[in-house]
Amino acid sequence: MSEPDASAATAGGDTPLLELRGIHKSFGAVEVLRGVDLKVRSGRVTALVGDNGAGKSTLIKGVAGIHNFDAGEYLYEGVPVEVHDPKAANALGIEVVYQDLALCNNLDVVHNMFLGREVMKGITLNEDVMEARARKTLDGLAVRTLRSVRQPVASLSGGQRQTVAIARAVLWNSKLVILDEPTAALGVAQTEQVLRLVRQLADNGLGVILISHNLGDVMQVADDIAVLYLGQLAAQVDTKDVQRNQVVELITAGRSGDIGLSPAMAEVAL
Amino acid sequence: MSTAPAQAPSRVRSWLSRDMAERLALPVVWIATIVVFGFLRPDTFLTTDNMFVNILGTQAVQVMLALALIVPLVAGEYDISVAANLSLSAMIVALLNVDHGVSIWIAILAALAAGAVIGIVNGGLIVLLGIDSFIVTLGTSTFIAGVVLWISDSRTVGGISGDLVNNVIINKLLGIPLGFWYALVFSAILLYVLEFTALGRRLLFVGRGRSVARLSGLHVGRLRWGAMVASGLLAAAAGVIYAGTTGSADPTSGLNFLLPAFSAAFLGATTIQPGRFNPFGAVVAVYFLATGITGLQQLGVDTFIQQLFYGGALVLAVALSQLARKRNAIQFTPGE
Repeated sequence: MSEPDASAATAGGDTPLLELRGIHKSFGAVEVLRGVDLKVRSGRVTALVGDNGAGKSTLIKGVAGIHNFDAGEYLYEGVPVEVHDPKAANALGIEVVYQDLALCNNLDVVHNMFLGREVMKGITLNEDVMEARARKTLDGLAVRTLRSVRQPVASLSGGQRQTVAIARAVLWNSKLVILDEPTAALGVAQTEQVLRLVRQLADNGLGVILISHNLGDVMQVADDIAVLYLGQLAAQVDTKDVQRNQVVELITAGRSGDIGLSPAMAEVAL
Repeated sequence: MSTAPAQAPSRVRSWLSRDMAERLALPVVWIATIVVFGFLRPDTFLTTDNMFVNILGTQAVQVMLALALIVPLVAGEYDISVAANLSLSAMIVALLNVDHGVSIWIAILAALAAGAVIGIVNGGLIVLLGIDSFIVTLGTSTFIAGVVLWISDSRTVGGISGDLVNNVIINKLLGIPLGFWYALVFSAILLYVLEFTALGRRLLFVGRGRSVARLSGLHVGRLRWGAMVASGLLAAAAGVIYAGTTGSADPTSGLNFLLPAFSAAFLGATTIQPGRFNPFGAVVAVYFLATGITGLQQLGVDTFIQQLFYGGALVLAVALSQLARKRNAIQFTPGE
C-alpha cells in the first residue's frame, strides 16, 4: 500500500491532515495497538468506533502526545512528525476534548479555556483580553450563550460544558479536533446541540475525530467511520457506503461480508 | 483587542457587587475585636507598644510561616515541615553568627539555602517516589527537629548580631517594627504570583484538577516540586525573622508556630478571596487570632486560651469554608 500513498502525500492536493501507518503500542506484555492505519481529512468528521478495549483511547492519547507509540509512522499534513508531549501536539494544531476530564469544575470558564496558554500583558495576566476572546469564540460557535464567562464550570449544564470544552479546543486556530465521547452524559436536546457543533467544526474546514459508542450519533454526523477491533483497524469506510448493522458487525467481529479483516486475521486477533 | 467589551470587565463587577460581605467579614470582625478589647482595657490594650510592637511586630513570623504553607496548599500539597524548617533556619543563623563569628548576612544566606534544600528533598520524595506529601513532610519535620537538637546541643543560642535584630524588631516604619513590613511585602509578592501570573494560575489547576492540568500539557511534577521549594524558602525566611525578633534561637519553640499557621491559612481562605488560599486573607487571620488571644490574656484568661483559640479556629475555618460555600469549597486533595 505504501507506494501510491507516498506519491500522493508529496503531491499535496489529497494529503490527509493526519495519517497513521502501522502504529504499535504495548503496555508491558499487553499489545494494545497492533499495526493501526488511520487517515483523517480536513473538513470531514471521522468517527473512531470500537468495543471497549479495542484501543481507541490509546490511539488518541498517542496522537495527542500523552503516550508515545512504540512503532509506526505519524504523518501530519503529509510530513512525518514527532509528538512526544501534549504541547507538541498543540503546536501542530491538534486539540483533544477529553471525556469528563476536559475542565476543572470549581474554576471559571475563562480560566479553563486559557489553561496552559495564558495571555499576558507585561508582567500580569491579561484577563480582559482572555475574557473577550473566550466570549467571542463561544459566540462564534453560535450556541445558546452562557450567562457569564466568569461563572464556575460547575454551574454549567452538561451541554454547556461540552460547548466550553470544544470552544477551548478551537480557540487556538486548531486544525484537528479530537472529541472523546462528547455526548456520553447528555440528554437528547443537548446531544443534538453538540452534534450540530461537531458538524460545524468540520464544515469550517477542521479535521474532526469523533470517538463514540453511540452509532446513532456516528451515522448522523460522521463522513467516514474507522472501526478498531482488538488493536487493529478493521476498516475505514465512508458512512454513506455502509449500513448500521455492518458497522455493528465490524465492531463485534472485525469483519462484515467482504469488508474488514480477513477471516484468518480476525481469528488470530482473537 | 478590538473585541474588548464596552462595559467594565465582569471580573471587576463581580468584585464590587458580589459577596462583599463575605470577603470583608473577617477584617470587620478583627476591627470589632480591637474595639471591644480597647474598650475593656484601654490602658494596656490600645497602647502602641501592645498594638504595634507586640501584635503587629512579633506576629510577622507567624504571617511568614502561613505564607510558606499557602504555596503548597494551592498546589494541593501539605508541608508539615515548615515549622521545623523555621527552627533550623533560626538555629543556623544563631550558630554561624554567634558561635562561629560568621557575618550575619552570610548566616542568613546559609539559612535560606538550607530551607531550599529541605524543599528540594521534600519535593523530590513527593514527586519522584510518588509519596503523599503529608507523610513525607511529617517524616522530614521530625528528622529536621532532630538535626536542630543535635547541632545546637539542645541549648538556646543568644546574642545574634544587632544588624538583624535592629532591622526586624527595633527599627520601625510608621511606628511598626520592620518585620511586619517584610511580611507584608512577601504577602504582596505572593498575591502577585498566585493571582496575576500564569504560574499562579497553573498552580491552582494543579491543586484543583490535577488530571486536567496534566492533559493540558502542564508539567505537573515540576510545579508541585517548585511549590515545595518555595515553601522551604519561605519557611527559612520566617526562621530568619524569628531569629531577628528574639535575638536568639532555641531548638524547640519554633514548632509552636505550626498549628497557628494552618489555622491562619484555612481561616484566611474564608476571607478576601473566599474559597481560595490567599496571602492577605492569611495576614488578616493571623492578626485576628493574635488580637483575640492577646486581648483575652490581658483580661486575665489563662494561657490555655491560646490552644483553644488556634485549634478551634482551624476546625471552624474548615467547617465554614465547606458548609457556607459548597461550590467554591477548598479541596483537600487534588481533584479528579
